[in-house]
Amino acid sequence: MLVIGLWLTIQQKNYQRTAFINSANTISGGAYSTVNNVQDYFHLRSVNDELQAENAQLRAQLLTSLRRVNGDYFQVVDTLYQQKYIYRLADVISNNYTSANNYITLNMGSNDGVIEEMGVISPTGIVGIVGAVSDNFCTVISFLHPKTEISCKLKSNGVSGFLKWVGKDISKAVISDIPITTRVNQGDSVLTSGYSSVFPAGIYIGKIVKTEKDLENQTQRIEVDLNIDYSALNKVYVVENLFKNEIEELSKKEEELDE
Amino acid sequence: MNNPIAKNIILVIGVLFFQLMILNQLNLAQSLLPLIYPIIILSLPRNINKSLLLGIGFGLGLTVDVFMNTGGANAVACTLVAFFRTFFLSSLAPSDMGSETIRPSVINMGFKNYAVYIFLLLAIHHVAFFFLEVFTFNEILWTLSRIIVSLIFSSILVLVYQYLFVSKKK
Repeated sequence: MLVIGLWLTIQQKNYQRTAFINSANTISGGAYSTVNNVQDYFHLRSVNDELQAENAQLRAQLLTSLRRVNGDYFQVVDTLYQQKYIYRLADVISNNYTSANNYITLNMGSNDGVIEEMGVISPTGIVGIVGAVSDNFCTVISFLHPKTEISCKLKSNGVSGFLKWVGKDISKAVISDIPITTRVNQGDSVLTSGYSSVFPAGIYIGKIVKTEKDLENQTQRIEVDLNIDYSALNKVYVVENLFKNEIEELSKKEEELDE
Repeated sequence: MNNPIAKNIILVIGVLFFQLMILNQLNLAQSLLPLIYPIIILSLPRNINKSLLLGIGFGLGLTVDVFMNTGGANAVACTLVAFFRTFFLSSLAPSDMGSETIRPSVINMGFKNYAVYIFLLLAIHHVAFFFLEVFTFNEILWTLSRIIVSLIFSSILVLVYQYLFVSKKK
């Protein structure tokens, strides 16, 4: 039994997705969602505020709230634009953020079109990546997990890197692969880069609070103050990239060319 | 409520509900995760069959693993607790404490012995669980501090539980 237990622990560490022992099953998912139905009422106010703030932000991007520059509107012809991302609103039914490896359970599963490795965002930032799916529930590997790395870029100069949580503090994350020669401004915004095909580009993640030079690796350690509050997740969006397969096929071909 | 099986089921469901739906969802602090559910193993009757005890430990741990997404960390920790329980019981609880079917509790073991009993076994559980969870010896001080803080909290909670629910029945 010890061996089985150890094997289960180790095989969970080895793979990109969560082990087959996970909270996206009918029993634990059902229990979490029942308890969450009660808890929901206590969060109504803050959820409302969050969604209203997002509404205001989206309203500002509407064509009607843009100022005329040359006397003409840019006409949006919808044959020029093709839908790339689909957002599904989901409820968080279990949220952990005090462990070393944190997971979130959502009330959406394969019946709602959710599949593994879809991104999850909230109105205030990045939540995580779907790790396991059952019929009606899914388990999300939180950003607060050593496996999660998010491709990001700095707003002022477009330099890109990988953002990672380093443990302990849920409001801090670190970018550690930007070369030492790149100039980094404190207070600069960090956005998603959109290179990874999981998250759309340009989602605000947080701002830079500290930079340290790492002479040994010739890189900088950039500390980012996260905008999202992981202790107050209620409504989140599951993001589906409609071009994901196409992008992945391309990168497979790239690998073949390398060989 | 004299049926021992019904009593056991209520104990298991009650403790698991408290652990999974309240303690785990509270997310108290970055260093604090009280785990009190091993109390189920610790309060099984003294003369229970050894392999049954190990089986219950493993099954209980695996159930908690499913809810906490921890792979098999709880299953390992609980199997260890079930394994070591017999040794601690034989040295800490006098064998003349009455019927062999008695459940270890703060009343029949005395405060001092019972506190040592749960503290040591919870310590085994916590050390195994927290190290398997992070699965690295990097930042060992941080992991140790998480173990100590959580262990103190879990022990206090178990003692409070004993005085609230077990003492009254006497």
